[in-house]
Amino acid sequence: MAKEMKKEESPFLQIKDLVVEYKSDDQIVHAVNGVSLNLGKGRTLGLVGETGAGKTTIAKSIMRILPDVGAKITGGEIFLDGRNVLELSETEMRKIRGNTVSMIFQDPMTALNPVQRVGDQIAEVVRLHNDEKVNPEKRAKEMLEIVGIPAERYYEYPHQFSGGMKQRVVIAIALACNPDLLLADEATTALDVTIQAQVMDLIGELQKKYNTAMILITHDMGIVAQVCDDVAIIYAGQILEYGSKEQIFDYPTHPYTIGLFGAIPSMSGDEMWLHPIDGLPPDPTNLPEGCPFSPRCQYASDMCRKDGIGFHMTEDGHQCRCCRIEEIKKMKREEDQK
Amino acid sequence: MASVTMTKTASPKVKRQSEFARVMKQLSKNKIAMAGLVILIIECLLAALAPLIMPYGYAEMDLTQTFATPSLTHLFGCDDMGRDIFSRVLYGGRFSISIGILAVLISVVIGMIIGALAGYFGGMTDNILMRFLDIVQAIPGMLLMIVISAVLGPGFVNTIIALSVSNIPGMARMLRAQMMKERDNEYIEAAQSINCSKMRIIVSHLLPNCLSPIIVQATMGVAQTITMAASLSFIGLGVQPPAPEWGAMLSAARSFIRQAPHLVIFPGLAIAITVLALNLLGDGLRDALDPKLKN
Amino acid sequence: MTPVIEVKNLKKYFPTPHGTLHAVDNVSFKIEKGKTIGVVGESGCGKSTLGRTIIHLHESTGGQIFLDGNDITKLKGKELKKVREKMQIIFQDPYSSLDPRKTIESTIREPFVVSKRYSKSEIEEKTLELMSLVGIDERLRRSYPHELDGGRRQRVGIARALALEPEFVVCDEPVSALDVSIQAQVLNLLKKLQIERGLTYMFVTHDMSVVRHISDDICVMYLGQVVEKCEAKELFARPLHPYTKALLSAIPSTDIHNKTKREILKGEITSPINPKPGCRFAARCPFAVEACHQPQVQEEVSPGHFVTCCRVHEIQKI
Repeated sequence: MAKEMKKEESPFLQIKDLVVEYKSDDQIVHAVNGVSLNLGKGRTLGLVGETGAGKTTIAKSIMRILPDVGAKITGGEIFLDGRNVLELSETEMRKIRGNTVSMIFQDPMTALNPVQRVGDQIAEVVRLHNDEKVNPEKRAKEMLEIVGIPAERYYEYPHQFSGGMKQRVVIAIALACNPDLLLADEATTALDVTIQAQVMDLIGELQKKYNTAMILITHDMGIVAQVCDDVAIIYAGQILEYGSKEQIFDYPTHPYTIGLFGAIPSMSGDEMWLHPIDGLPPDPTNLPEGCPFSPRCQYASDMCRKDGIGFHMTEDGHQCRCCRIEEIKKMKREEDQK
Repeated sequence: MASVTMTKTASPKVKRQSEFARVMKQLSKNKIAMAGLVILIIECLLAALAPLIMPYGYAEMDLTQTFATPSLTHLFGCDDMGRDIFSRVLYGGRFSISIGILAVLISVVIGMIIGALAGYFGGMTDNILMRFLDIVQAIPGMLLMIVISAVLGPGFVNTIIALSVSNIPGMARMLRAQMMKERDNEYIEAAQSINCSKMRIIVSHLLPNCLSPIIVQATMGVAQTITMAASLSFIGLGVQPPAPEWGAMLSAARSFIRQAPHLVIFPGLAIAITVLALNLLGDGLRDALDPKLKN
Repeated sequence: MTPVIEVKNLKKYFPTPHGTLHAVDNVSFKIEKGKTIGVVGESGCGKSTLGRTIIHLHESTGGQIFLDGNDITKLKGKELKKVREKMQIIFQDPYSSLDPRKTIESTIREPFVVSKRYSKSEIEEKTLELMSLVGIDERLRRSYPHELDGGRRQRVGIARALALEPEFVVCDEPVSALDVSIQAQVLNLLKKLQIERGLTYMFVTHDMSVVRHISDDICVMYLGQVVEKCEAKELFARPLHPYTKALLSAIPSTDIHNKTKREILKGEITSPINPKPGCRFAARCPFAVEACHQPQVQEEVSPGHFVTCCRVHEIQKI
């Protein structure tokens, strides 16, 4: 369905060659280095990568909430519903934030104001973004019920809520204005698995109901498998592999993606040793030339250390930024035969 | 077994520098704080070298020059007894600055001991120590100082004692709060599990991590103490004449404020500049010591 | 063979302004030499407190702790220091578990210095030996923790714990703050050290795939109590307690084709303060009946498989 949409019209969210840098003292942190994405309405894209890979920076660029000091979008375009977000004025942006685009942050414990009633915090967002026809308090109560919290608890304060309930309030705030795009940044990482399952289910349901597009930022492959339609594997501010969930999970192609899957302890297997990816992610102030993964890649050759490695389309919509795909495939096949 | 061999990939360049060098580097970026530091260093040098620089002795009277206005022979003019104010201000820096620094130093040391014990052990120890401090704090600071000075009698050493006692509760409370926060970190549990003694945990782990706010507070405290010493002298309880402590000079000059304002202006300026410089430095230190601004 | 660690009816209660918090309530298990027991459960279930109580970072409220067959529950002073060297802990947070103002070297060296058993040159030698054992490059010895990444910091924590050659190590969520690729490096290191040094681990975690990988036996805890205890394989193949079942089914699986219906628990974890007698999971349990609110007994359903649930047989039939 997504593919058809691409042909008919430009997708709801389109990021082209986004480059973001942070400047500190005497260094430049290359946080995002040429990321391009497309996302249609009602679809979910998973951004997967390690700490510091630039996932959160991408989301914050869409919202235009990067810190004023030091952070700078130095290249690229972000189109939201056909409009270039990066060219909008701050006033126009304020209308978009919370209304068209909402973000759920990682830490539910700090996202709420401790001295304001939970319900008022939801109502405030409604008040900011709607005309007078909507009664903010009524809408806030409605939202509480939707996320599974009795409306009577409108008048309580955040400390009276458990972690899972706080995160549900955060979700209620994010969804109160029926956003078209939801950015969930590690939204369930701080929660216990049984609560995480509840919250993910809830987000999924609401997303279906309102046909919301969602970018899910996570490092948990399990959640991606459960929730996402498309997946982008991010490493050192670049997308290394991009495709539908089936393409990525069934046919991981980039050595990094393969390594990531290999490093997860299997729930069924009895292997003695895990297969970690050797080494560490590169220093974002001093990225290696060529493929950023090449210093850790067991297949790396001289070719990989030259700049300008582009995407290779391996299948319809499945892209992989690696110049040795064919050789690696062959080598893997030989390994398997042995 | 290949999977367990550790690779030695070239890691990002690990820059190391001592804590002191890091703080100085951060501080050097803050122009205003640096200005404060420079002023202070100059002041300390002037006070230390005062006997060499002073054109006249601080108690040297020249009755022909009473109330002389500033001129080339007497840069800041002369006071009611014909003493050169420039010399007196220079020499007075020795009293004012050393009272400030010594009093704060004493209160930091005692406050730290009390705060560390209360903060680390908590419970009964904490209760007893804190209630004791409550009693001290319940007496208004100025009153407390007056009482102590009155009991001990005026003088340089006694002024320092009076000033440090009134500073102790603040220091102790601050360190206690800091200790209680640091105490919950896992590295303290780790120290316990490798059998570190309580003394070692406090001295070697907790104190170094609690020091930054104390350093800032102490810097500002010196400024405050100099003003308090001035107030004590002003009411005649501090350093006694003819010693030219800045506050004492102010106090002595107050009756002539209308006829000869320069008697008040110059020692007043000296206090104001010192206090300002210390406050600027304290502000800068607060930023430089904040670990969140690291790198 | 005497187990390295055995706990019997261990209890740890904390007084709070609202009542007594039952963090660990009647927990019993034993661990043989060279084995790993995994303790899983959600936040606030008392799994970390259990580990800390065993190694005497908390004083126990009741029950007994045995190390190599000797009762160490009430030890104090010098004797406690002696047994403490045999029991160490690796912490969850590689950021707060290292003193930010101490170099890597002085953190690793500290256990030797404190033990006062070694000369200066021996300490130096042993420190370097430990650093290479856990895979920290020698040139990092004078670095500060904030200059290192999470994986390396965790290795420093491991080195410190192993310095005094303990028999038993509590691993309190040692990899949950790390990225998967680094997590695998650290897990492999822990396993290598276990084999080389015959270490016995208690591995506390909320990550089911990690616990499956590293443990021989697993205890599932809920609000301070062990609800199920058996071999790791058995637990994943045949979970019996309704809570274990829910926990396992809530884990998002990376298998995208085999979508099993997930059991999603209703409700929130109840408070462990002044708990009522009876099964503490009953409030969220889909199978709860009147009998569940009576005190429960642990039952050995099959050899080595213990479950604390009065309806375990009926539920199996359903």
